[in-house]
Amino acid sequence: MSEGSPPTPAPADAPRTVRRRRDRGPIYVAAGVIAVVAILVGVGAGTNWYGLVHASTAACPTGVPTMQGAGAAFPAAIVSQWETNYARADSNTVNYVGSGAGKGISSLEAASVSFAITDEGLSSTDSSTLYAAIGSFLTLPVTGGAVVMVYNLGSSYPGPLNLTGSEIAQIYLGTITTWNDATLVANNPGLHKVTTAITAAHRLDPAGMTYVVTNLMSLDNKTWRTDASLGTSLSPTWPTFAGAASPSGNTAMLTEVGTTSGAIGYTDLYDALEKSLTYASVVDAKGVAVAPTVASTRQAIADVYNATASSLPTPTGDWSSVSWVNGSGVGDYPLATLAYMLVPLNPASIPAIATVGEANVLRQWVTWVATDGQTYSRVAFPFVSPPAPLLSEDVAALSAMNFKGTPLPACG
Amino acid sequence: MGGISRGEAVARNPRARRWVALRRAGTAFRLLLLLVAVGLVTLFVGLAGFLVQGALPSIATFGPGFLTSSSWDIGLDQFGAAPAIFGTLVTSGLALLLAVPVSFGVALFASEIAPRWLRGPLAYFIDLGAAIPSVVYGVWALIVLVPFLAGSVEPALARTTGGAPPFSGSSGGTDLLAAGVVLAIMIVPTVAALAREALRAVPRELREGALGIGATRWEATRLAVLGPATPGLIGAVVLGLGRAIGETIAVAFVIGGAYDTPNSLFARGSTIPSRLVTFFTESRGLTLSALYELAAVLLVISLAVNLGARLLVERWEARSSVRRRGRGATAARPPPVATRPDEPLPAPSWFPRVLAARASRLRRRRFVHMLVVALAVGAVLLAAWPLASLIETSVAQGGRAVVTPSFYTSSPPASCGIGQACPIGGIGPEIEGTLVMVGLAAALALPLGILAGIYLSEYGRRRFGRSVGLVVDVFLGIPTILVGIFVFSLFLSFDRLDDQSAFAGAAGLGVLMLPIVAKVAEGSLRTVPASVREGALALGFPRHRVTLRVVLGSCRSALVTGCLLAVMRATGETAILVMTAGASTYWIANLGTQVGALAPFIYYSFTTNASTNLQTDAWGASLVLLLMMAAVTLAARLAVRGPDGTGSG
Repeated sequence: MSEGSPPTPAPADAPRTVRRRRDRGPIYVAAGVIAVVAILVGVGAGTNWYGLVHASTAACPTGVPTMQGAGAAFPAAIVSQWETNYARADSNTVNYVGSGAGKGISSLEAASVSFAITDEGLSSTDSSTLYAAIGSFLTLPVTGGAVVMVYNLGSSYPGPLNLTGSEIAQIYLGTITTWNDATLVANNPGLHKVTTAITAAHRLDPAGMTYVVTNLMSLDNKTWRTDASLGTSLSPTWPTFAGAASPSGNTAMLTEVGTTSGAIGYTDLYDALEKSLTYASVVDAKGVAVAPTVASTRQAIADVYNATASSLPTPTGDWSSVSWVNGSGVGDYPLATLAYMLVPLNPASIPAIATVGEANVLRQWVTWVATDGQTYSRVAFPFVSPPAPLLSEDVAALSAMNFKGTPLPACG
Repeated sequence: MGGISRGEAVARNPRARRWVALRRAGTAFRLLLLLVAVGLVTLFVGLAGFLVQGALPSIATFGPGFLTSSSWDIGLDQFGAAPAIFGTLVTSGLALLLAVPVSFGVALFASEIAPRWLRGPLAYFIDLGAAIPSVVYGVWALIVLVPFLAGSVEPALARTTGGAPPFSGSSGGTDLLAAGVVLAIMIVPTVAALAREALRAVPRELREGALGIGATRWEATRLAVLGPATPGLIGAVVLGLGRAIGETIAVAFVIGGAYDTPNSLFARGSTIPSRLVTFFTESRGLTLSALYELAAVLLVISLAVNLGARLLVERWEARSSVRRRGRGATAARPPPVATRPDEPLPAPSWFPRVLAARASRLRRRRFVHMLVVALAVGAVLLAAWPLASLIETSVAQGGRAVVTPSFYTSSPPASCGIGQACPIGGIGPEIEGTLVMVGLAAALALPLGILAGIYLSEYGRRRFGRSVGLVVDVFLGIPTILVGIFVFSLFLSFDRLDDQSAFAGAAGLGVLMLPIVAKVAEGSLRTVPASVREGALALGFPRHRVTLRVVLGSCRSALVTGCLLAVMRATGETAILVMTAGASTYWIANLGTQVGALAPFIYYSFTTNASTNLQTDAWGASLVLLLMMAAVTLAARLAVRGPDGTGSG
């Protein structure tokens, strides 16, 4: 090399002065992700968190997927107590949504729930649709109570309100439009000062309580009875007039009556008490006004049962003409009703019930409701147990439940 | 020495081996991006396909008469869409009528009139209003708005027209008017935010030029800013319309649920989404098919609105002659330039008008300016009242529950005996459900969404890339109830899976989040200057490394913020979870069955029969959601402001 030439480049195989560090970042991230996924999969599979393996083959397993039910809003409060206490007793959970009897029946037809509760024994049309969807089913009376006519007059009318079934019908027909109507004043003298217009609120959705109220209206009022679009139904074609209101769902009904001055509607006794709504006494067949209480309701149901016991259907029979309204005894509250639980005889028709064990748990739940569950009808929850013979029939009928034809085993 | 094959040459040279491996990784990455993009398009096609397939029996049975029939009889199998379409159009139209003036006033105030110290908080509250979940709006509307309307507004309106339609009759408050008003309240923040961006995007010089020759501030805005901002304003309005059409839960709370076409705003009605969310999961047979057809009609309406908006905006922009900031030279005409340094610019068309008007009508012009300022302030106050009322109600009703530690670990309470002390219980299982489902959804949607965003930013200008971009935009605009129906149908068609489960909920939320994350990622990637990318390429980084390490790395904060916002959106989503996750108040024992979550819990507590203590829990849950949205919105605002010091405050 001469002095003037440019410096020679470094030899090709000289060691590099800067060593590039292999970037480990992505490897750590990948390892972390794999570790997390492995933990999740391992733990989840171990505890069956992913629900891919349905419950064990035990005859009466615990920890099965939550049983879903839907139906009438009427008994929702007592069903909530049943859910809580059953979960304590049996370590299996139930979730009931009181979205309305009509929705409960259609959910059961769609087989998206395992049981439904309704205030009306199914008509033969509904019955055959349900039969076509899930096969034979049981109609089991599980609780009862009073449907009350709630109203909102505030301080303008403090006294008790007495209504006959015919007056209720006239209100919903639109022929009685103000609270100081002569017909109403005849039973309630204090009303002659109240000039508020009546807002007659009825349920827009098919409701069990609608069935009960229309039942009484049909018995007491000729127009309601003879009109083909009215009559006794979960969802009659309500007459439309200026004062008619149609809230959808029980919660909306409570809000409507609670906020609209002059409104009248119907709900169950529990909700009326819980929301502090004023409610009416209903005049019975003898002309005596009876207030809705646990005692008057229990008596009404007992009297109707005694009068009709021999003609009541079995759990697999047709309950569509069964009515608990307008008991004939003294002090019977006219708007009493029982609520029926509808349970498929072969729960395999419900996709959510995939094993014998789960079908057995359903049977266990309904049996518990018909036996231990009845102790929760205390005064704090103004519901009434069905007459004891009916409950025994329920338990006996449940033994006929099967899973794809195989009888369900007894619990160990 | 004989020649060696290329493969051998590569095998011998470690550097060449490395380079080939990188090339292969790059190709694999590009293939992955393409897969994700194709997957997105498939997802959309699948959604439309499921709806159409489900609707086929109904289409075959009813034909075009379905759109004009008003019956809905399950027993007789007679169905029609007219009342639902009517309700959707009436409520959305009313919402636009009320919301557009208010939003424009708010936008005007926020961009032109507000003092500097107010702009940040104002922008924050606008964003918060847009982030509040619809179920929280719905509950507030049911408890506060409906009684207010029924007690004060409706009687006043009835008095002015003497009870004639459309102000005839009464419904106790849950009616088409309430639905229209709550929709207006919900879309004001969205439209205001977009309108504000549109106004601010106009170059300052135009406005300053008008001010310089003596226009009042309102005149300067009217002449110089509104014109160029029009495409953005139109886009904002149409986006608000799209949101109003698709809104499900808040409307379902207050619209009353009746199925007819009344001639009064004070009557109960239905919209397509409210009908779908109420009846879909329990219907089968022809009823279900009719509901699918309703959903398909909603999809068509929503697509028409979204695509129509894009077309309108593009056509308006093509006619505009103003260069938009940051968009490059997209103007139809190049901006005027001086040919010599001392030659003045040619004057805009409105110069002579302003000069002539100046002296003669100064006082009147100043009065008009003051009037506009007053109207804008009024609009801000009008928009602020519902938000303030909502926050106040949530805190009053749910505040006690939120500060109780056991609220977050207990289960919702059972019914309470009459006269007994009621346990408050808690929302523990609901929080668990939300965490699990949102977590699963995010685990899927975040990576896939970022990949989709990368694809859009790299290939978004090519033909297929533009279609993918269109699909993402459409996905962003479709009503979430349709996503819920799609996922529900997907799970319904597999017999082995339960219809409603945590998996279905997570899948639904994932489909919701995917386009949001893709859009955010694309936007963040586009903000990185080309020089960064070019520098990395010049240093020898392979292309996929440039994208993944360099470009993603430099927009990290914007990306993280965007992902956080998408996750929060999923947390507040109700309609999808009502369809797919069902209801449960128990701790999760099994992901394959119905699980509870925060937003659906609030929905069920106020619509199905629920006792007062459960509703108090639901208010607590609302407040929890509200606080989360407030925190995330604040974090997003600070993150946007942080790195470069100049925020969009």
